[in-house]
Amino acid sequence: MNLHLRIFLILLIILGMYLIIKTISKKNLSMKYGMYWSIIFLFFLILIIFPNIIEYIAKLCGFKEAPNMLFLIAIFIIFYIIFRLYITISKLQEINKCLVQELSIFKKEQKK
Amino acid sequence: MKVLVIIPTYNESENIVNVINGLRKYQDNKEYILDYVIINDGSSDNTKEICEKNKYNVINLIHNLGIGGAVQTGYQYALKNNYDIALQFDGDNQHDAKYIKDLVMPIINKEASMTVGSRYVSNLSNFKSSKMRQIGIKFLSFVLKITTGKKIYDITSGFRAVNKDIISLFAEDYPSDYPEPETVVEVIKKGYVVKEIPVQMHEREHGKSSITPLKSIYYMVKVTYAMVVRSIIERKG
Repeated sequence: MNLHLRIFLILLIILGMYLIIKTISKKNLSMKYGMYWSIIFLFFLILIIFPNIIEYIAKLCGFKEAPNMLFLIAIFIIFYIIFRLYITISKLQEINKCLVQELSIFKKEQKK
Repeated sequence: MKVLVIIPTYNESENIVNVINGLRKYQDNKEYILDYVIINDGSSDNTKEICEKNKYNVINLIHNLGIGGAVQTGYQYALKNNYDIALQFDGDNQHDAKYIKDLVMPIINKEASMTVGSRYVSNLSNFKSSKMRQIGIKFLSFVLKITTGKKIYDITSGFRAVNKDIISLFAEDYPSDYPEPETVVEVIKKGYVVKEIPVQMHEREHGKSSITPLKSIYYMVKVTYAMVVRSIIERKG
């Protein structure tokens, strides 16, 4: 990998980390999900600093080209994140429903 | 001075009566008024029925929020009802009401804004939890030293008391899972004095602890991350 490209990618990751911490401090992202994203960024950082790891693992797994493996891994990670997102949304919907029902019943009882 | 004991419970029907009876032994006091509130975190056992039958002061959450959300509800209750001091007390009989006064008095005397009941600053407690957990606590205590420069030995202790300023701080913002070490970092970074008080803790009488071995690695990573990020955020703010 070209040195300029690597420096650019590392700067991109530092920017990403900064964004995560800033979003957490604004309370727009929970510590838990911030940690997940940080771990993914850290993983990328290791790959950028030691790109040989990818080549080595790709060869070991029988990929013809290293980028093929990267794309596959990336798609799996994205798929998993989206899946988790759907689970979280479903839970939120359920809790929301509970809240509305409970509050409505409570309000009616208060009126009596 | 009005002191509120916040007792979060989740499926602790076997313990809750003992906890309240233990608390009532130490309720008579000249220095302060001691009230309590049980936060029933959507228990699926008969905790709710037991509390209502015994006419305990209880808030039944309509949905399980986890320990952080439950405790925060207690702080919101303390803020609304104008309490001067709030004290966290586990609903599983691990904590001893005998030491409530030790935790409350330094705050009344303005020696500290927050007190943490600790197993490790004296030989009072014969129960110090497993070897692995002690190593974990040592490590988190080390993380606190790095991020804040202060030393708290029993940093995961859920037996703690805070003054009015910190009540409103916690009522507004409180981590939802594994809140103890992260909030210690936040409080120290905001410039409050935290004091560790020697206490005795007991092994649980009934039921199981909430942290399984499988979760403990995740716990360590999450708590360490939260402590580091929290210290960065507080420095900027």
